[in-house]
Amino acid sequence: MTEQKLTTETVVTRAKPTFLKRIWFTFKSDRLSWSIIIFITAFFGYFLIAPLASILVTAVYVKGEFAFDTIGAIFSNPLFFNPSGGEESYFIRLDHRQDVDVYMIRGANLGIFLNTLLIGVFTTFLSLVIGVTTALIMARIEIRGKTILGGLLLIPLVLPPFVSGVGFMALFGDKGLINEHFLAPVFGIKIILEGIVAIIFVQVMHYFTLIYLNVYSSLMNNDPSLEESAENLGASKLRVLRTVTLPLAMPGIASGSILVFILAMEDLGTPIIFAGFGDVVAKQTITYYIAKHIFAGSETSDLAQESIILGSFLLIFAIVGFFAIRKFVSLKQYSMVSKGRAGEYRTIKPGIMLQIGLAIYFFVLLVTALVPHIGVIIASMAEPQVFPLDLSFENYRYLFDADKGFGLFVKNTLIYSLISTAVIMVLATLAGYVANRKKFKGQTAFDTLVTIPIAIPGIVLGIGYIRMFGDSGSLTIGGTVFREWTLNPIIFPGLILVISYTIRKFPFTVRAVYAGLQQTDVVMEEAAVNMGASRIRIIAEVVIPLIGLNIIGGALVSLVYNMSEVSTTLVLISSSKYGTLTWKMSEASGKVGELAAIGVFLMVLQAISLLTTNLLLKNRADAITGI
Amino acid sequence: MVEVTIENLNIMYGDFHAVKDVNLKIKDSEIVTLLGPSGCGKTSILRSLAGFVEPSSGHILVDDEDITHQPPQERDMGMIFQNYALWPHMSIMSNVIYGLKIRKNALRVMKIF
Repeated sequence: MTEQKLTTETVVTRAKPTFLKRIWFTFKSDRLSWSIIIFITAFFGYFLIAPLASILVTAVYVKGEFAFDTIGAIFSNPLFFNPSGGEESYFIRLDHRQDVDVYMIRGANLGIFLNTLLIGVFTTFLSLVIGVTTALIMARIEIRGKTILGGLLLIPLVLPPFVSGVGFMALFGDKGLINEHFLAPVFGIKIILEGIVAIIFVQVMHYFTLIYLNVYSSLMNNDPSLEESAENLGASKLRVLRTVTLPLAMPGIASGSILVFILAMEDLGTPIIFAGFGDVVAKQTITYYIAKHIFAGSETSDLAQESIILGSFLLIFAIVGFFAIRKFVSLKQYSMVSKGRAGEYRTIKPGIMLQIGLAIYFFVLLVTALVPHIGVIIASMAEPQVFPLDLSFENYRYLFDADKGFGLFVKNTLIYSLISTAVIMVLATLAGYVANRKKFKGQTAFDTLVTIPIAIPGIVLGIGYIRMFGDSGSLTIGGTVFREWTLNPIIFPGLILVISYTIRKFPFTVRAVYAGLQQTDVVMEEAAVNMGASRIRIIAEVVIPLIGLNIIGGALVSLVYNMSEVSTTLVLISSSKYGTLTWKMSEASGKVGELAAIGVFLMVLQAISLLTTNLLLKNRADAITGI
Repeated sequence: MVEVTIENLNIMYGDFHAVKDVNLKIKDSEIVTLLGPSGCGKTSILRSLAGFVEPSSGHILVDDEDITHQPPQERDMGMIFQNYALWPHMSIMSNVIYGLKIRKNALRVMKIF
């Protein structure tokens, strides 16, 4: 009897395993990969998707019912939405101060919402123009000293937050070197860029590099015969550019510009620094508003509804941009289609007029792009108003003086960044490997999950964490690990901060791992499988030795961005005991000298890390900047 | 009647002397094949004919016209590339009629199709 029953059951199971059993079999077939997939999905689900979703939901669903009145109030309040502009909105204004004519160039002030959009649109447009032009010149025209020029063009990438603003003010500000000691005494005028014009200027000089790198690498990677073939058929230079070169570079152009669009709108450092110098319009940007109005009041731990709604808009712009570009780039991914490449690109030998033009172009571009760096170094060692400069290293003494409290910030920064980078190194290697080498349902979704943080505005994730884990949080499950180790940022921000760093800078290392795996033939792993190696053995003995440099390079980039993270840091930290260097910089925005010294310190750290990365990855810049 | 003449053609890539004193005369309706091991300069000669490589010395003549320094798009010289060079961002039709559109012949050809 018993025997018979057993047999029947076995037959039934063989014919049709239950749903749970099928899942169990799939899992058992590759335990390691599935454990990684499940763990990463849970981690990102809980610390990325859930907080963001809770913000989006709270924007329209308040205290148990749908409510749109705050959204309505925002769009009828001129502080947030003022398309006709007000008294403070002017493009250019002339002031007379004693015997100096002061030209104030402000652009516009159309309220918080439109200001942020204007910044996004114009920064993207101008970065696009400068980035694409520079890439075309560098890729197709023969210039002397191209290697040096290429190196100089990378310097704008090494730019810690706040530094750009400080450097800009030191040189171009009202009391800056150029206005005070050149324009005013020589011409009797001052030209002051302020408001969104100043923010856009500073951003473009930083972000054009991202587009330049993306476009340059796609211009260099396409098959030269594609252009030659068009020329052979009689197409003029301009026609080749219009019909072949630019369409082929579109994926690079598009992903670069959407990245700039997102970064420009979520930038908090630049508005904070200009606001610190007393700029009214800089305070009227979405990020600045959210950072200063996290809570509904000083007595409550409820989030301000306006901040939640503004944050949701920022988030929606970013996510729509991210998916639009993914779709577009996947539709237009050509680089794999052509069969290898024949020969090198022919470069144009410029005539004398073009040579002079190019010299002027690069001179102006580099001088303006290096303004923040020069300015901040000057500001860290001297008062820029006093000329000739009186150099001293007084400000640097604060940086390493334990009594003045800077030692604590250096220590905190290093602890948070290093722990998070270590976690990233392990998890991103595993995640990148699985996403690249294992075929499974939901692979695209998994890949999106681990790369989308690059597009997520940090400030929104920050308020999402407060919404979830803060005092009045709705989702405090697992809120307290130990008594001190709580996820509640208001009590102890350290843990949740490290988690936010890990999530937000994860894509940089994952990208580097992808790049490594693409260059490595899967055959080497198959050979190991063939000889009976387990998944973990393959990762440890074949994959990591082969792509180790990529992992280290990617992790260094993650580390750099961790150390200079601003938005989540400012939202989550409320007590100086836990402050980081960037947190201290935002607090000290009045004290230019100290700020500049921290800036130079971060700049040196960034430069060293990026140089090392470049040496390790050999110019695989798209691993750093790609979406 | 078309005759192609290559006179004392020299092509240098930096210090590397890729093509050394080549003389060649291709008569009208003649079919000529260049044979040789890789790196011997076949592609370089073809590319200089199409105008993609600037010879360091020598002349290329079509009939009696010297085209050595003429830009590639002004030469009446058809070339099929080693790796086909099909534009991945265009349809097959656009690939085929690209040159015809430039010579403003596209409409006439489209009618034939």
